[in-house]
Amino acid sequence: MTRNISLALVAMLFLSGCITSKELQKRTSALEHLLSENHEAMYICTPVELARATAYVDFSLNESALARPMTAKQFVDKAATASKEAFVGSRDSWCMKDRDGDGIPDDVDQCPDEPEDFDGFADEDGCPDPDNDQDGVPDGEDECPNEPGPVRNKGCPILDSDGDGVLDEDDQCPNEPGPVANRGCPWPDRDGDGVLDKDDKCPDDPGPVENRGCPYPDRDGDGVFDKDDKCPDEPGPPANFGCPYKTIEITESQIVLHQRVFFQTNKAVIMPRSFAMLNEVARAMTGHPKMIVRVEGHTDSRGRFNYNLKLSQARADSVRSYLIAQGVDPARLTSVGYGPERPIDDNATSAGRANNRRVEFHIVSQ
Amino acid sequence: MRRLFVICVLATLATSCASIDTATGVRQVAKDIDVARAEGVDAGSKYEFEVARLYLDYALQLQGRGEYEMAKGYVAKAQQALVQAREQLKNNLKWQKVVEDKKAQASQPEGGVQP
Repeated sequence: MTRNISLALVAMLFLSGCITSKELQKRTSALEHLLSENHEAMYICTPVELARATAYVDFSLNESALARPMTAKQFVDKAATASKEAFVGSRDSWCMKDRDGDGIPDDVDQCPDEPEDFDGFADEDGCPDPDNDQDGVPDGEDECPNEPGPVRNKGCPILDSDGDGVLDEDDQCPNEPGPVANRGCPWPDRDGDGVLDKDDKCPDDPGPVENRGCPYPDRDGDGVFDKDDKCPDEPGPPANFGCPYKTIEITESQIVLHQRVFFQTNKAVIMPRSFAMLNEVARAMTGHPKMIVRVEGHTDSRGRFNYNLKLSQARADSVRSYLIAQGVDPARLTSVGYGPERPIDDNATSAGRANNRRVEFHIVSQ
Repeated sequence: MRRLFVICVLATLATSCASIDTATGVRQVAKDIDVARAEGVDAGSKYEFEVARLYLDYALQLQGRGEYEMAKGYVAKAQQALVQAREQLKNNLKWQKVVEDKKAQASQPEGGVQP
């Protein structure tokens, strides 16, 4: 009796195990099929539920293999619940498949049948971009896939390094801007006068633009161009328009007169015949704008000292006034009368006294 | 008797080693999952991340039951799922927002706000 009961129990357990195992297998297969068929849509719309369903199916199979049908069944139940949630949640229209398998769902994939190439250029649209810069050179062969350039330069743009509008490949001076007419090179200016050689009639001699790059001639070599030189064949200072001084000479300390300044007898009135010489003095001072001059008046020793002193001062003042009238700045002129105090010759002779009656121009600074 | 004792000692040692191995793996994956979550992988790669998390849970269960070799296998699977989650993250983020927006649009009641 006891033996019969035991046999019956074993048979029951065996049978129940067989049924559970078969049932489990059937349910597991059905779930696997469901998940496989709807994987893309569930992945997009119900990824967590899909993950649970997938994992629980896996655990169920594992538990079956470990001969734990009860635990396996628990996992199948959980997998079924998760699968149902995943399925229901992924029925909406946007949970589309991903036909080209590029990971971008067809609903948002602008090219659902062409996989996105994910090359870092416009990857969001789902369309492959075989020629990102659309320069006709496929990205695979394009050394600059995101910058358009010709085939002959492997798809890279041809540069214009100096920005002169002549591309480097045609530019004979790619790092110096220059016109197209000179193949991208700057026009030369050999004499450095600012007039380019192509426009310079004297490319090796510096000259102004107005003379087409040629120097103005200066026949007498006095530094005053002939066009401005009133005496082009006689050297003379610029202050005297290139003409030599005729009646004066400028030394380091004086403007030396070649003639005397003539005054009316016992007066400070300058005689007209001295005007030309004084005019030259005025021009010399105008030509030396920094020159400061002291006009000195001197007499011979005849007559009273005080009278001579006053006369020499009046004559020096008279000469100063004349020069100011000729345009010399008054601030650059002083006048002093020394009377007979500073003779340069013998007052005992007529010729010596004549020499002592004089006007001198001393350069104070220049 | 002596032989039996040696066998017992060896068996105990082998079990202990497997247990330590599995525990170390479980701890490492748990740590990796926490790091990934902090980096936002759970939001960007929901499927792969959830799979990794469930595999780890299951590995813990197996470990508790003394199924150390089996647990190690699921630790490895969890790790693999985590790697995939990171790989997918970049691509997923690009289109996930579009899907989320559509879902939000669809869930809005038609005809505006009801009083």
